[in-house]
Amino acid sequence: MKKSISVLLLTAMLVSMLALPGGALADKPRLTVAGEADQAMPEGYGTVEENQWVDWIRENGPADIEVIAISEDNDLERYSMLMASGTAPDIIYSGDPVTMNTLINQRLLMPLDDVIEKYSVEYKARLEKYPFLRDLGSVDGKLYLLGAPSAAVMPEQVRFIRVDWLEKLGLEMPTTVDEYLEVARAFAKNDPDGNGVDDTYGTNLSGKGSVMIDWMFGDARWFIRDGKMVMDLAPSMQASMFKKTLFDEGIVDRDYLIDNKGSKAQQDWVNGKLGIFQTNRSVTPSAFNIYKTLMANCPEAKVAVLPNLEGPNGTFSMDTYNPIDFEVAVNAACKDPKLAIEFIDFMIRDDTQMTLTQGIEGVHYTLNENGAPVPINPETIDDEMSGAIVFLETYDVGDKVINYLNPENPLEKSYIDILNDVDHLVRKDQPIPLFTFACLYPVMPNDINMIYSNTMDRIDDTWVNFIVQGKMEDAQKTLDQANQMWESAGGKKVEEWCDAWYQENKDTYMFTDDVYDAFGAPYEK
Amino acid sequence: MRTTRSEKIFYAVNYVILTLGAMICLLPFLHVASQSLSSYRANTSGMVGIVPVEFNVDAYKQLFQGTRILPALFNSVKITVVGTVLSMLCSVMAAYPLSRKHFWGRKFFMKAIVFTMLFNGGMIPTYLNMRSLGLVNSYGALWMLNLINPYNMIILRSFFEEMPQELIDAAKIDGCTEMQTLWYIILPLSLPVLVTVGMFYLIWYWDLFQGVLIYITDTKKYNLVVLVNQLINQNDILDKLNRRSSSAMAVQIAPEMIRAAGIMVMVIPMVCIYPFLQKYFVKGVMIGSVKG
Repeated sequence: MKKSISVLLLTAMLVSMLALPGGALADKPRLTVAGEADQAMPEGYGTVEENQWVDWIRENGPADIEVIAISEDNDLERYSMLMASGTAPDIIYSGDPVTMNTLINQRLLMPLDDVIEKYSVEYKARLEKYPFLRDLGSVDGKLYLLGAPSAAVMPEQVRFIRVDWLEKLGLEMPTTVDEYLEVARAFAKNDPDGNGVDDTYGTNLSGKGSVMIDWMFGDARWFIRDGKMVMDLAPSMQASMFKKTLFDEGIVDRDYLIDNKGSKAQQDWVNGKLGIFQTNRSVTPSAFNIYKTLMANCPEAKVAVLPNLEGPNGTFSMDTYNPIDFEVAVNAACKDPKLAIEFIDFMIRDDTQMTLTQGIEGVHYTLNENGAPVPINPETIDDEMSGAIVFLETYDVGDKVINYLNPENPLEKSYIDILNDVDHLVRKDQPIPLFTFACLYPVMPNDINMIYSNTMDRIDDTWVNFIVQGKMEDAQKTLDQANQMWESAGGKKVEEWCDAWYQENKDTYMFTDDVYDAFGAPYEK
Repeated sequence: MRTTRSEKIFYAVNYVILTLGAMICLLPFLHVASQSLSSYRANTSGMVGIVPVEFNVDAYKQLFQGTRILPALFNSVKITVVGTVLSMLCSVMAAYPLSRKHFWGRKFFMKAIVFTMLFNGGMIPTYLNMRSLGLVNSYGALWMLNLINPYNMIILRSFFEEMPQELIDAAKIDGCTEMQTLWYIILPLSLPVLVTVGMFYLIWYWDLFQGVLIYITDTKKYNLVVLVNQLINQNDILDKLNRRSSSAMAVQIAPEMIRAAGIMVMVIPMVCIYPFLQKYFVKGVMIGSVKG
């Protein structure tokens, strides 16, 4: 039996060697790598599995790679299936921490401490430079996940305000939560667009608006107080009362619940009907398009970025992009761990990442006097870079619109100024309200998570009910009700788990302050 | 027969209500269609109702140049046409013997088939099975797994059961074999139900989604539904198409436009087939289900 298998294998190897095109690739050992299936591949640029960049990696990297496309949609299911049948890629890629943690718990990923120690150069250097990568990527003291720290804490959410409306109504730029309410009220009631019709809104609760107001009140749910991790719903009450005021007085669109993506608010904004726009579209190309449309519809508009507002519980910033992503791991069934690590080392080298994000010098880009790459063909560069596998990237500004704007054009210049202000929203003295960044939240075990998410959904509904139908004087009653819901659903168990996690990790884990210290704000770079 | 006045009124009211109902069903379709054909400004400013505003076809241009939608369309057609033919062939071949009373073990086979409607082997064993058959990453897996839909097979069987035994006896006397009886007598008489079941299979294969994601590893072989789903869910793709179009600073594409265009490309082929087959469609379901 064994003999026949080895004979089979031998023939298979011979056949596969014969099938390979040139001689050069045949020398390199094979390695399978997960690729992102959800990419737009333009006509004529190949597929996710076979394109010029995959060829480039084969030629310049240590391995003859084969790309296995994995769709982000149901990647856990797909990996489970591929692992069960022994056909999963050697290099695993997933942006979803739940997928990664499930695979670790099922012992389907390889602990990497020894292999990195023995064979790695580049990732070892990265571990030395960012020691927290080891702790955060480890489970039970073994390193499984490879991570990419970003260059800085990058802002994502932002509040845009119509400065021309402020001027027209003789108002000051708000700096506190109360002033914010006042300005929003004036925007809604005092006809800032001067058309004699009561058709403007002060701000939006739809889309990200609701969560952004929670954060303004420091409503993080979990707090570290007196050396313990505790759950506190009281800030939710303050935020909900604020939202109720906005709702009751008609300062926001009362149909905000059906606009959960915020597209109606965005329409109001570009039509010049919204005074303060709370959104997470700030630095992407689509954000600039929104701005451009507003300026086309209302040429008189002047837009500024609202600073972080001081609330009753402190001054907090809005949400940011993930400062760290743990997105790469090695399959436990990988036959050649040394090769896998060499490949990862090759992929994170600066010159490799430069090539896979910007292209080849002289063909796709040239360097300007500051040493920054400038695409030779800006119109087609995106198409040309399609299908390039980029992972564990240390800087992630490739998608930011600022790279595409031209300072000579007055409209584009004004957006560059806005983006500079957006950068200044990230401040350590005005941190996010969470105890650590959401991407670093510990993953709860299934049973605990079930209690937590189900109860939280119900509590959220209670608050929504209070905002839409309740009476203001019932706020305290609603809070008691929410607390009771939490108790009776077994919330204590969740709190115990969280506190136990905290006690175990409090000296080594990265908390919010540590993240700001490690990454800094973008304008400091 | 003359219709009375009150009957006329009844019909008039009926028609008005039904026409209104039909119009309401048409509205979302028209809205999506006009979104795909309107400008960026009209879309983001919420001006699009059921008529295109500032007509243009930029969204389609971006869709066809910026994504692999054309190959995906061909893949869909291939999966659907081959799949429907195979499924129809096998379903008829299964349904006909099961409809004949003299077929030995008829009840047992019938129960075995119904059993699969209630229980199945689970995803991973099925995947391993397909893998050992060498069907992973080929449309074979999709066709194999959907070869017979028990529900459709039962519709066919009940229709064949209605067929008078005398007809078949007559064919036998004229010297027909079982195969010839099926081919020359039964099938031509069963046209309505064949078209109905064929339509069920057609839509089933056209909308195949989960199966493609599980069994097809090669993105080259993805079908239209998977691609459109990616378009709808992946903001990265939309951002890229957006950048692709706005890098020239000439046109802008809103996510809604690309989504709408993708949905239209997916829906239109089915919409075009429907009118031709619909007359059989209604009749077929009726005839298969009502006895007597």
